This record gives sequence, structure tokens and C-alpha cells, in this order.
Amino acid sequence: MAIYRWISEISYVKWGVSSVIYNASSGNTYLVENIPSIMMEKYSANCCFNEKEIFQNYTAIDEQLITDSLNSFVKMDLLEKVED
Amino acid sequence: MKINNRDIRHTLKSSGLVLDIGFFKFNICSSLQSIEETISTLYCDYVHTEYDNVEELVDFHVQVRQVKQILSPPFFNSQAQFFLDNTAPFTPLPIQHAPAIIEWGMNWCVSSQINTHLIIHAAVMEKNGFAVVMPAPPGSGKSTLTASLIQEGWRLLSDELTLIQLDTYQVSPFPRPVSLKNESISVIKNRYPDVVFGPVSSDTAKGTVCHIRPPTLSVKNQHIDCPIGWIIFPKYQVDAETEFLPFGKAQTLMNVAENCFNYSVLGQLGFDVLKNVVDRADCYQFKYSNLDEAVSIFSKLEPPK
Repeated sequence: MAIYRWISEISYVKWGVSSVIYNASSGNTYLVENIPSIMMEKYSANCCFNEKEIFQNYTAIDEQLITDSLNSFVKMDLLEKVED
Repeated sequence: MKINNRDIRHTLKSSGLVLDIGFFKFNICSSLQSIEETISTLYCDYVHTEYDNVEELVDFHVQVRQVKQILSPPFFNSQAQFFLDNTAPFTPLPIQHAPAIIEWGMNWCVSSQINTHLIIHAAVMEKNGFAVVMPAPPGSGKSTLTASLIQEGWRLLSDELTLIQLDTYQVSPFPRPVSLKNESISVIKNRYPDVVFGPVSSDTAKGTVCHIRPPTLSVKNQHIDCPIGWIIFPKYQVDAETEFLPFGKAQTLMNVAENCFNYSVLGQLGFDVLKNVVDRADCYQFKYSNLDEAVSIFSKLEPPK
């Protein structure tokens, strides 16, 4: 379980299961599928992303989906791991 | 003020002819007969003004000049070159390509110099108050479809460059001659015998290129902006069954962004504009081989919800 922090300023739009994320820091645009809403909500709240806390508070969320999404976001330079 | 054809040659050779095209004013100079022919054939419905009489600012001062390489042998054919503000952004091409050179050059002026709009490489037309945007790579049949639809009552807003206002998300028309290539030329000639064709440029990098005159009404209404109703990705495929299918908005945004000239230049603003445009539009992918069916499908488009 790790804690991540947002390292980029982003904008996003969600249509159904598809989201388009614009990384204002890099200028890159990404199409991502099946990103749990909680991840974008956490961005809106300008929070760090505590994996453990999310899993405890949102038990209905598929943990693997969260983990995959986190990995994608790290690859997109949106998040970085600050604590394992 | 319009000037007559007799004056066009003199004006093109002297201070230049100012053409009022949508949002922009072009001052065009050239002593080439094929350019004179292009202007008098394809641009007769536009407002022509002599540069000396223009009170407002001109956006682009363009020229197509005959040039000759200094070390070229005497038998070497002369060439034509496009200039913007006396600077040549491209290498010269055979002089018989001059009609295509000026059209390509004018497109380049807007697509490379303008950031007051989000610019998409896409055809755009209007009917019943809504615009259909058709982004597509070369060879997708975009211009053939556009040339057909504008003969069927659609208003031409642009064949190549969709200009989207950054605050209202509406299209600013930029109606110019529609570029047809190779087989498309005879397809449109046979289908619509009354269409006026400009001079032909043969053996260009794109094959044989010829432009057709935009409908008079499209030119007359070139200052009327239009909201976007549909984004459609056309694909011509020989013998294909007609297919008109909804296309995901997220993928639409990505595809349109890839076809933008200045999306990355505009940064966050570009994303916000595109997000709003796609959100309001109905999005489709369209495969066709039969123009009658294509025209019929477009005529049945329902206004976006």
C-alpha cells in the first residue's frame, strides 16, 4: 500500500467509461478507460492518494482496478509514489 | 467593392488584389496567367478590392512568382514559388502547379499563423443551422463528399480548415474552392455538370489537382458563424457497404486533437474548447462507396440533442 501525490495539473472529461485527461504540465492528452471516479474526485480535492485509505473507505471498489489505474497515472507523469 | 475580370490582371500585377475570405483578408500579387485564371474563375463571387483602396488591415500579403534557378540550364522549365511577406516558406514547384500552389499556400498561411481559433484539418459544412465537421486524412474521400454535399444544399464553411472560436465554440466560415484530386475530378464533373472547375495542376505530389468554385450562397454568407452539431469521420472504401455508426466521444476528442494544427499551441484552452465542442456534438464514423447513399444519410441528420 502506497501513498501517491499529484505532480501535474490536469483537466479531464468523462463520457461513460472513457475519460480524456489533459496534463497541463506536459501538454499531453490521454484517453483512459474504466478509471474509478474516486481517483478523479481525489484529484479535484487536491489530495494525496492513499491507497490503503481508499481500499478501507471504498470497499466496493475493485482493488486491482485501482492499482492498475495508479500505475497508469504514474506512467502518464500524473502521480508519483511518495511513500511505500 | 467588386472589380471586374479585366481589372484583375492589372491589379494582381501591381499593388495586389485583396480578397475578403471569411475572417481574413488576403492581398494577392502575381503576374502568372494561371493565377489570374484561378482568381477570375474560382473567386469571382468574393469581394475584390485593390490594395491601394483598402482601409482596413490585410492579414496576409501573398505572392506566387515565377522563379528560375540561377544555375539551371536554359531548357530547364521555370518554376513558381509561394511567398508570404516576401519570404518563401516552400521550395519552388513546376510553374504549371501555380494554381495549386496558391491554394496550398493560403491554407498554410491560416493553419500556421493563426491562433485566434482552434484549427482542425477538417471539412465543415452547415445545414439547418448546424455544422458538420469531417476530420479525415488524405484519401478518405472527404473532399469528394464535401463537393457533393455543397451541390445538394449544404453551405460550405471550409473544405480544409475548420476554424473554431475559442469563446463561443462556433465555426467561423472560411469558404474557399474545394480541392479535388485524381478520380474525384471526373466523379464530380459527371455528377454535377454545372460545377465550375479552375485550372488543372497535373503531376503534383498529390497527383492531378483541380479546385471547384464554392457555391455563391456560401460566399455570400461567409460571415455567418455556426454551432457544431455533428462530428463525422468519413472513410471512402471501394465497394464498401454504407456504414454510419455512433462513435465514442472520448475517442472523437482524441482523433480531432490529432487533426488540429494548433491544439498543443493553445494548451489548456485548446483542450477546453475541444471538450465543449465534442460534448455538444453527435459523433459518428461513416464508411461509404456510394455517393447517393452518402448524400441521403447526411440529409437525414437529426439536430443534436
